[in-house]
Amino acid sequence: MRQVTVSLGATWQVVEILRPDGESYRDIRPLVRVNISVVAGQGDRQETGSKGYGGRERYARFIETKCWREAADGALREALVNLESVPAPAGEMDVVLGSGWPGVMLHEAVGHGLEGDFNRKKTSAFAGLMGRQVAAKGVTVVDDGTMASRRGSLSIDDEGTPTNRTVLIEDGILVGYMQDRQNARLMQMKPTGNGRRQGYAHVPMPRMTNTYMLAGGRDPAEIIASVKRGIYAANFGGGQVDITSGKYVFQCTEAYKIENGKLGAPLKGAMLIGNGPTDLNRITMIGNDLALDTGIGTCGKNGQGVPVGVGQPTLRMEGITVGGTGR
Amino acid sequence: MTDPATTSLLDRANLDRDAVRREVGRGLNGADDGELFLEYSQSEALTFDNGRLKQATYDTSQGFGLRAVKDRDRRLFARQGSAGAASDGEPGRHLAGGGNLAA
Repeated sequence: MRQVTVSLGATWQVVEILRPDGESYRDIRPLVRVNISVVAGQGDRQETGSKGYGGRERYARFIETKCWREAADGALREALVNLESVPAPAGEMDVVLGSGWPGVMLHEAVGHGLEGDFNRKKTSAFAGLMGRQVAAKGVTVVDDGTMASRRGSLSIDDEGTPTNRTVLIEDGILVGYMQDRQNARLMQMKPTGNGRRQGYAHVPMPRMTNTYMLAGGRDPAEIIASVKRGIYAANFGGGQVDITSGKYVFQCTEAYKIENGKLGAPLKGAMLIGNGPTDLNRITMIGNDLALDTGIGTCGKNGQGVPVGVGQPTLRMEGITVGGTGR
Repeated sequence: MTDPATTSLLDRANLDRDAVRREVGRGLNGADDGELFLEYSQSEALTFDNGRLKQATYDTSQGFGLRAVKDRDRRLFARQGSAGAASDGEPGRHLAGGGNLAA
C-alpha cells in the first residue's frame, strides 16, 4: 500500500421557504460523507481503490470503527484486485451489473429522462411515452425522497412540497415523472416533491432524490451462472448521458470477465456504451438483492449539484457494447 | 433524516415575519408561482494523507433567493447572500450528465 487518503466532510443546512399565500416551511438538513482511497503498488504498477459512505445524520455513526474499517478494507481490496487486472475485452456481450452503486447507470441513463422539465420541453427520450411499455417486464423504478437518513432524502423539497415515493416505471410501463411546481403546473400534473436547488443562489428544478430499481426474484449467483461470455461490472466511476438521445458511457472501476458462467480475471478499463431507453428492454434477469449505494453521489444538472442516492439489484443485460483494449 | 426546524431563520435575523410575508406577497403579485427561499449553512472538510492532516476547511454561508414565475418560462430571480472562508466543499462522487440542456 503506497498511499492512503481519508476525507471527512459535513454540512448543516437550515432552510425556510415562504410562499405568496402566506404558508411557510422549515427544514434542517445534516449531511455527512466519508471517503477512503488507497493506492496499492507492485513493482512499477500502481492501482487505486476507494470506498465512501455517508448520509443525513450527525457524525457519530459514520466514525464508528466498524464503519471506517469496512470502507478501508473495501478500498484496499479493490486496489489489490485491480493490480491483477487484465485489459477488458471489446465488443457486444452480455453484462451483469452489480447491486448498489451501479444504479448510477439507471440514474443517468433513465432517471434524468424522467424529470418533468425534459419531458415538458420534449427533449427527453421518454417524452410522450406515458402509459407505454418502455422497459422489460419486471422492471419497476421509483424515486423515493422519504427514506430515513439517506443522502438523497428530504422532508420537504426546496419549494416546500413534502417528498414522496414516486413510481416512475411499473412492470416496464412508464407511469410517472418527477416534478417541481412549475413543470407540474404546466403539464397539469401534481408536484412530486422533486423541486430542488443547490442553494439560495440557484433556481429550483426537477431533480432526483433516491432513485432505484426494485428487486426481482433471481439469485445473483444464478444470474452470473447464466452468462456464457460477458463481463460482471461490480462497480462504476462516473458516467455521462445525453438526455435527448439517451446515449450513455460508463467507466467500470471494478469488473470481471465471465466465461461459461464463472467469474474470471479482473478487468482494467472496461467501459459500457449504450442507450438508456433501448437497454431498459435488454434486461433479462433481475436479482433479489436490491441495495442502495452507501451515500456517496452528487448529481450535476445545469451547473447545480445536489446529493442523491442510487440503487438497484444485480441485473443481467443482453447485447451491451463493452469498450476495452483486450480480447 | 432531515427535520422540520423549530427556529425560524427570520427570527434569527430579527426580521418581522408579518412584514416579510407582506413583502413576499407584494413582490410576487401577478406571478403564477414563486417563493422566498432562505438558507443558512455550515460546512467543514478534513483531508488526511497517509495519516497526516493535509487540508482543513470550514465555511458558513447565508442568503436568500426570491423567485417569481410567470407563464411558461418567464422567471425573475433575485438573490443575496454572504459566505465565510472558502472551502473545498464536500468531497463526493459527482454524477456527470443531465447538465447539458439549458432551461
